[in-house]
Amino acid sequence: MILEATGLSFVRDGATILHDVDFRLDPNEVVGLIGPNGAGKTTLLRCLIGLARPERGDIRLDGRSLAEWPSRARAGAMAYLAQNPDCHWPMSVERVVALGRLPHLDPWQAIAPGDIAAVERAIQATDIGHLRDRPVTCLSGGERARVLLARALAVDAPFLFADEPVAGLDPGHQIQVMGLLRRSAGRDRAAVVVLHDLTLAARHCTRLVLLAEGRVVADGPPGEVLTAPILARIYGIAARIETHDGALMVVPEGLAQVDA
Amino acid sequence: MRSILSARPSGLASFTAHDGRLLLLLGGLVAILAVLSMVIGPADVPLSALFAPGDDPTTIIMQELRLPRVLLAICVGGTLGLSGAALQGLLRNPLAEPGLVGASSAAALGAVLVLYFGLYTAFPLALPVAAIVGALLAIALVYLLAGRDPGVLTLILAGTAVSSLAGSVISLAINLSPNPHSASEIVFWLMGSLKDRSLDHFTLSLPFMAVGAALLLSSGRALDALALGEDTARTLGFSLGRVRFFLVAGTGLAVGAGVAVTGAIGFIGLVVPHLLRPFVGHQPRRLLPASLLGGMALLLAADIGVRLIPTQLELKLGVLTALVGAPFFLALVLKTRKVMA
Repeated sequence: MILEATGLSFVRDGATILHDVDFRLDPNEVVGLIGPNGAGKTTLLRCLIGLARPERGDIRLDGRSLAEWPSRARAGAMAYLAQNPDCHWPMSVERVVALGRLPHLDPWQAIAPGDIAAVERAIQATDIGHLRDRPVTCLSGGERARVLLARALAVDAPFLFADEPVAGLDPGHQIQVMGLLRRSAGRDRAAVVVLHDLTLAARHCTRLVLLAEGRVVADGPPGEVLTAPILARIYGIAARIETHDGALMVVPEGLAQVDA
Repeated sequence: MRSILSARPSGLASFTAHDGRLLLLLGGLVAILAVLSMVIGPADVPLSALFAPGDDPTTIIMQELRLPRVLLAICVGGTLGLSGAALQGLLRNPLAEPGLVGASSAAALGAVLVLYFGLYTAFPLALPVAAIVGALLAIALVYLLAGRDPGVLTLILAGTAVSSLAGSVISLAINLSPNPHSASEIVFWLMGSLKDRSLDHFTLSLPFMAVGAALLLSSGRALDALALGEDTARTLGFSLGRVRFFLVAGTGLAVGAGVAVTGAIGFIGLVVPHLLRPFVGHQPRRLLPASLLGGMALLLAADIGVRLIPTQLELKLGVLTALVGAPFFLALVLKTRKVMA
């Protein structure tokens, strides 16, 4: 399955948030959406998943226009992990994870062994088996993030879209969540992740898409996108970019000098 | 990893073991209370008189006085509990109440206008019919006020606006009553009661309550999804506009038809879901059938209560539920405040 968007434009309150954006997602990719605040990362993600309707442009999932997909079939093909996700009722962890199976259930159909297996896989992948009977509202921030990631993984969708899944997590949990997203891609699956931490993006994504002021300014492997000149131009920072044991590291050292 | 320490039903069993036992228990409670409600009253009549042929006075008491009372308590209580649970799920707030959508006040207004103009003398069922029309108009007006594709807050504010409008016209009707008798007639009707209702009341309101209940019960999965927030619910394949319409229209139909035959009975829709929520793992979908049965049981019990509490005039049902429900609501506010602080 391939997701392909061409010529996306999005206008909100007269301000153009996205200008003519092209985006393509292939299986086995982990694409990091990066860019300064207000660059349009979240808006692009919302357009791709069908939460926002672009003014112009065409989004095709598996060759078929996104708008033509029945909403439940689309929900089974694209899972979404919201920014700061939460559950409003103190439901048990396994019941929350099981909500990920909703797109696969007909209105009065009971949950089936196949659904349970998907829930169990998601619980195992995120290592939350010991929490399964706890009310989700009583968990720590890191535990809750893993539970809600498991909820998204339980959809077992070809594509997973995560909006800043590591915001507010400590470094250990950040690495854990990114590793999970990385592992969940593959087997003909792919993920799109909105990120602010460039080193994390470089280390865990197979491809980076850099947005600035609603346009794609760079799209490629982390090594090609994260270069000192690009970072100076887009983020206005002077950054040292190092490769350590084959892994890219971005160390911001200060604001870029503006050349006259 | 599967937890090794706890001996819990594994996988499928834990998800399909629904709330059978709880629902059976509540159903049994409803049955017992219904039988009690049939045999408790000023005249000592055995239950067997209900099925006796002929027109013995005891049979008439059972079939024409007590049976409608019990049937209406079951239907009205059930829809009040169900719509409370559904609205609390939609708003993700345990303080929500079926009255919020405006249909109950509008139904009351329809009934009050019939009482004010004395229309029921021409046509006995004018009162419930006008009340149901009031409830339907309220749903339409709420949607008209809220505009295209309304958010849930806009819908509730529109419902509140319709409620206060209806309330002010009710006050006007009482204010302008030609004589004290008609004013007290309106006031007493508004207090809510199941006394002296006929089977016609039941058959008239049943279809509306049934359609309303069906709309509400069919929204369970969407309410589960909404626990994760509106965006996530949409990405799980639910159309929020449709869900909101189902819930607002379902509540309006069910509660409006209930008010039409019984007058205003408050707090059932608030209290029942709150009491039952811990027993269904706080899951909105599982709360719906439980609250349906719980509402039936609570209203049956309250209706037995008004007959057993020795007061000179029989206590009005709506007064009793408010006397018990209001302190409960207060305690709930305090508890919610603590949780949110």
